[in-house]
This record gives sequence, structure tokens and C-alpha cells, in this order.
Amino acid sequence: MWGRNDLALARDPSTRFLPGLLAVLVYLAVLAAIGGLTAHGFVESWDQRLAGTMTVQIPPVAGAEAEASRETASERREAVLRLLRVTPGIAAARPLPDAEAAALLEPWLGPELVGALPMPTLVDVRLSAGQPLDRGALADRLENAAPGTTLDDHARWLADAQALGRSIAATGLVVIVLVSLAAVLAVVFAVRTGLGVHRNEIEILHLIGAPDRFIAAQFQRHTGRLALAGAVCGAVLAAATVAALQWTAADAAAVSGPAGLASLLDAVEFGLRDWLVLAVLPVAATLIATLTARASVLVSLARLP
Amino acid sequence: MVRFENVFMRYDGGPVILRDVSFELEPGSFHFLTGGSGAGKSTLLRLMYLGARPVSGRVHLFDRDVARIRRSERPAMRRRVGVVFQDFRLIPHLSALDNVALPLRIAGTREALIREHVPELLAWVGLSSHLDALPATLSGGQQQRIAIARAVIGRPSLLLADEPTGNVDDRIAVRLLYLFEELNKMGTTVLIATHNESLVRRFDHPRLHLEGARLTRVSVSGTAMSTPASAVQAAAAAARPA
Repeated sequence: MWGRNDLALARDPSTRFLPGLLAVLVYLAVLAAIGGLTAHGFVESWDQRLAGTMTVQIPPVAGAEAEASRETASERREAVLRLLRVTPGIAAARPLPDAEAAALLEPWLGPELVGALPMPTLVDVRLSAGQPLDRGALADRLENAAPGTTLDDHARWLADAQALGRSIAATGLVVIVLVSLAAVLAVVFAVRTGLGVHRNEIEILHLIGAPDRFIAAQFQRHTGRLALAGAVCGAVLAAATVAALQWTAADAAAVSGPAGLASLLDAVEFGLRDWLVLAVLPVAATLIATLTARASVLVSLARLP
Repeated sequence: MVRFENVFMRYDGGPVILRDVSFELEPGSFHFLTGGSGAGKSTLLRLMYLGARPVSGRVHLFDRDVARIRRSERPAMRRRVGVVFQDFRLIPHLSALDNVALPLRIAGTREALIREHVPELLAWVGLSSHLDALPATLSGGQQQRIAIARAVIGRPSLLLADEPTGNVDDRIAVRLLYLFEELNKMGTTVLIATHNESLVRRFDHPRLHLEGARLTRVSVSGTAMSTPASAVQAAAAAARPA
């Protein structure tokens, strides 16, 4: 890549925009890739966290009935817990303390409403590994034990989250493809302009016996240098942006607490895979630019008589 | 080495520059190509270094019909031909040394050998103190000598020189002709287009003469030997070194 250049390509103004453009494109590609991977990782992490769990929700008894008989609510809860604990396939059933449930809802409803509104009782259910559970039958029995009780196996939430994660990942992929296409077009444009600017020197090289690949190698080396410089700058800027985002998320999580939305982002770690993306994308961009330059020169020269 | 058979040449509907030209250059021969300005000397050379194609007729180079040479084969053919262009055709941003080194670099010669041989040749043509000079800073004669050095550095099988002494004084012109003769003694076929009659007379080599778009072979003594439509064999006989 660092060999000598017999064409004065470095003085050619038509290629000076390449490093800047490549920096922007690599910056976008790295962010898109890390965004896509993060979304995928986020969904995977929730899938693992929620696998083997269910939540049973026992609604409060509405109006004066509830005030009149707190015992009814307690009986409903006990009936549900008894049923759950004897059901094959369920390893444990733990009612969520009221304070914990309130803490989960507080960021969404505010402290005033959480205190004022009747709260459902939530029961965290852990399933036994390898033991099947008939969820339909369980739901029916729960309804009999305490009318209005619902069983949530998180499938719908997870399906939505997975669809969202897939959409973000696909969008990231589309961005990378578009960015690659833009890089290819920019290099083709720069190379063709360069071929026009250096037409005389290229003719001389041809006349003294230079094969097309000798001329292509000159463009390839020059484009490779420019692309690498731009790509490294773009990757460094992207790394700085990701670091800033993480720092912001960590800061927001510290303020909003474990129930806050920011804690979800903070929980996503910048791991080895992301560092690999950071390292691989600039190299890939340089390779794409270099090979495009070579192919573009060879195709253009092959059209000459 | 080179054979023309009934070659016609004109550019884009312009006047006929070469009409029914036939001749042959034997391997190891040395010829002058003479003719007035615009007689077609440069065009004849251009056909030989694959810089143009004839309108009709056949050009054979190294026993290959050039019309049948694939594009991918041309660079290797051109590397066997050293050309001194009338307008030098040096690469302006490269130093004298790098211009002369180009054919070697294209051929993949090791840099150490280039650093050894190129300054030696540039010294021979009187440019030892201008190795790093850019062409624009040199006189026409100096640029011409760089062009000559570039043409001969790869020891080509065929050397074509278009007015190679046009910008140098007689002393240097003679010295350059000796260089071409040395190359010729090592086996290179040489064809020099010139209108320098005194130089042609001074060196004892046969001459091809272009006039009115037709080629005439002239003997060493200066007598016209054949008509433009003369047979290839006759020209070939004349082309043998004396």
C-alpha cells in the first residue's frame, strides 16, 4: 500500500474529499452496526432474563368491597399462591411486596397516584426446568381461584421487543449497505476524475509498456492511503460518541434508579464484539475503497483502444 | 522484426499520410528514416510502437500481425520497443532519474539495480548533475537526452527515435548516435527519423525516405533504389546492416 506513485495523484484535488467523506461514512456505519448489535443484544438479554418466568396479576377488588373486606384480598392472594405451589411445573411463586411493586410503577404514574390508586398483587413465578406446564389450564384454574386473575408469560412483550430489535438491527444493516454503496460511488467518481486529469501521464505509461494493472496499482495505493486515514478518523469519532452515550446513560441511570429507562441502556455493555466492529469496519471500508479503485481503473482502461 | 505490407494511413478522413507502404526491418539492422516536415515519419513510427492502427494493410511486429495482438499482450510488446518521442513525453512531476527509471520499474526491476544503472546512463548522456531535476527546469536538449536514456535503459529489441537530435548541438548529436550504434551492436534494431542530412551522411546506414506519402529506399550512397510500391523483399534486402 505504501509503494511509490509515478502519477501525481496526491496533488490531484479530485480525491481530497475522500478522507472526509470516508470518515463520515465509517462514523455512520460504526454507529449503525453498534446500534444494531446493541438492539439485538438487548432483546437477547431480556429473552434470557424472562425465560422460565411468568407473572400472575391478581387485580384489586374494586370500590367499597375492598375497603370493607381486606380479608377478601388476602384470601384471593393465598388461594392463588396455594394453587401455584401445587401446580406441577412451577418451582416457586413469590408475591411481590407492595413497596417493590410500587417502585416499579412510580416512574410511570408518579408517587401521588401510586399511593392513591388500588394496586394489583403481583406474583413472580419461576418454572421448573424440563417440566411442561399447561398454561391454558392454569389460567382457567387461577380464574376460578380468584376471578380476574391473569397469567402473563411475557410472550407478547418479548415478541414486540424482538420485532423492535430485529427492525433496529435490519435498519443498521441497511445503513451499512447504503454507506458502503456511497463509498463505492465516491471512489468510482474520484478515480474517473483522476483518470481524466492524468490522461497524458497514463498514455505515456501505456506507451512505454505499463500494463493496466501497473496504473491501477497507483490509484489503488493512493485511494487506500486516503481511505485508511478517513476510516480511522471516523472510527475514533464513533468510539468517542459511543463512550459519550454510555456515560450519559450511566449518569441518567444513576439519577432515575434501577426502574428508569436509562438503566436499560446502561445495562448494555460495550463489549469485545463492539470493539471488534470498531476495528473491523475501518479496515473493511479501506478494503472496499481500495478494491473499488482498482476495479474502476481496470474497467475504465479496458475501454481504451 | 518489423514488416509493413501495403499500409495506408490517414487520420479521421484527413489527407492520406502513408500510401501503399511496404518494407521490412531485419533484426539487428540500423536505418535512418528521412523526409520533410509532415511527410509521415512520426506516423510511421507510431504504427510501429502500437500508437495507431493503419487504415488498411498489415503491420507485423516481432513476427506478429499487430491487428491480431490482444490488448492484454500490448504492454509486453511495447516493453520490447524503446521510443524517443519528438515531444519527449516526459512525466513532468518526476525527476530525470525517475523518468528514466520508469521502464525498469514497470518491468519490476529491483530498486538497487535501478539506482546503479540509471545514474550511469544519465552520466553517459551528460546529465549526471541533473539526476533530481524536474523536466521543466531543463533545456530542450537535456529533456531530449532524458527521453533517449528512458528509451534505451531497458535494452529494447527495437529502438524508434523521432528526431532524437533535433534539440542538441552537433557534438552531442554525434555522441547520441554513437549510443544508438552501441545499442545496435548489442542486437537492437534501430530506426531513427531525422531531417538532419549531415548526420545521416556522417553515419553509414541505409535510409528509408518518405515523400508524397510514399516510402522510398535509398542506398547508403544516396541513390533511390525502389518505387513506393516496391516489394517487401527488396526493402528487406536493403535493410540488412552494411
